[in-house]
Amino acid sequence: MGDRIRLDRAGVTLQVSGIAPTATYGHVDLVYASIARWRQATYGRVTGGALPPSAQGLASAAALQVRPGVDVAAVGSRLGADIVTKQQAYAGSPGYSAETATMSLIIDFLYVIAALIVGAFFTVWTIQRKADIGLLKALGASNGAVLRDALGQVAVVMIIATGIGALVGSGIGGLIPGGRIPFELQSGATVTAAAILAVAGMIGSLVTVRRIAAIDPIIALGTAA
Amino acid sequence: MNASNSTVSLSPPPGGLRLEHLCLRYGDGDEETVALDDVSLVVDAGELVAVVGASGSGKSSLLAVAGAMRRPESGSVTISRVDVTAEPAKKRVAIRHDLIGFVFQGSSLLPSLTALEQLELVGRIGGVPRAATRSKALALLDEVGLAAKSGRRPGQLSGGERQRVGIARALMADPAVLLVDEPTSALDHQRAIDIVTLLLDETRRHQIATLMVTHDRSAARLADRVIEMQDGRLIPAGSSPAR
Repeated sequence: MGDRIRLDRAGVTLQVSGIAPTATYGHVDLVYASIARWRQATYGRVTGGALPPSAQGLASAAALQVRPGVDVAAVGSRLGADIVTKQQAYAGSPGYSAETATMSLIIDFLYVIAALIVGAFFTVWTIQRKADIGLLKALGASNGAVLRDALGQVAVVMIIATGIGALVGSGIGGLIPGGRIPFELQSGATVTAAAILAVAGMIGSLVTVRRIAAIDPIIALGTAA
Repeated sequence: MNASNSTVSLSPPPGGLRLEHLCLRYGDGDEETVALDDVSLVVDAGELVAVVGASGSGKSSLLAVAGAMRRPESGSVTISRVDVTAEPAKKRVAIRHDLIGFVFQGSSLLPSLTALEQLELVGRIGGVPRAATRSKALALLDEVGLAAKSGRRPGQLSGGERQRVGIARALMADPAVLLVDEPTSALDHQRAIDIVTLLLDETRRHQIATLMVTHDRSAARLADRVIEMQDGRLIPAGSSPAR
């Protein structure tokens, strides 16, 4: 507090009057200052500190709070400005769309990969249990009953596994120190992700349906000859 | 001994198993294998018939067809006057549960279930609640001499005991027919004799038609009838092929 920060190229000196909660813009630390200071720092550097007359009244963006029902497009037209929503404004910040798109792609691929892994796991599981499934069919279990049984077990395994995963993930997330690392684990998002993973796993396990249905009860008899 | 297609009596049994002119082939053209060649056989309720033969003679195919797992190319299988071969696939699944008991080679028990649970599983497949089948399962385990070991898993039982559990399991749904596949293959001579004797006792007690395939001729001799299978045909044991 009270420190002075000089922006050499703009010829502007700022005095620290308070510390705001951690925030960044395009991964760069933020300074909150008056609009006059901002204009000085942004447009004044061209002339070595003096603010040109053409820069008077300029702003790169302005936050607008309107009452419900106001024709936002008409306001924008009257001001001669493009009006966007808060979310669109975030998306317009440097690198935001590219980063969120990459992260979304990674998350989506994780769901697909989870489905593939679960599908592969239950395929191996089905192969290992082929003799048992053949036996159940030989004893008079219908395909439907065997499939219900198998998929029921998949559901139980998936729910327990994703539940444990969510708890472990939340626990590890809680160990990450706040402040220095921008990390946040919201319970709603965690539960949603766990639910999607469980459903993706269930979908992945459907690849075993055909395999289970195709198991011939005759294998219970050993060699058919 | 009334076993072969030419000598067997085909009077329809009230309960029991009746196989008529069964034919089954695998593959086609030069690779074709005749598994069953005009096989006819009647097993009456309360009778144990043993079918002996070398590997590849068609014994397992006979069980597969008699057990409603394979539909023959021609011929019919009748169990308690139900023509199994005429039924659609779904109905044949129900027939396997309701009319047929299977005793498999090496017992084929599910490793994670106790002896009692192996039997209760049959009830569960039939949609009967576990509580309703428990007393019957315990009674059957008692019948095969394993009441004291009802809580043991297959890994904690001897080969002969596992086979006894398999026999008790096969009786759970009150079948009309018992199909037995090589029940003595993993047993020493005395235990093999004990198992076939038990099968004979259960056949009489429950008035089931029991068809047992085996390559153990000494154990097979305990059966009411012994029939030999050769190249997909049934012939009375000890005689030469009919053709």
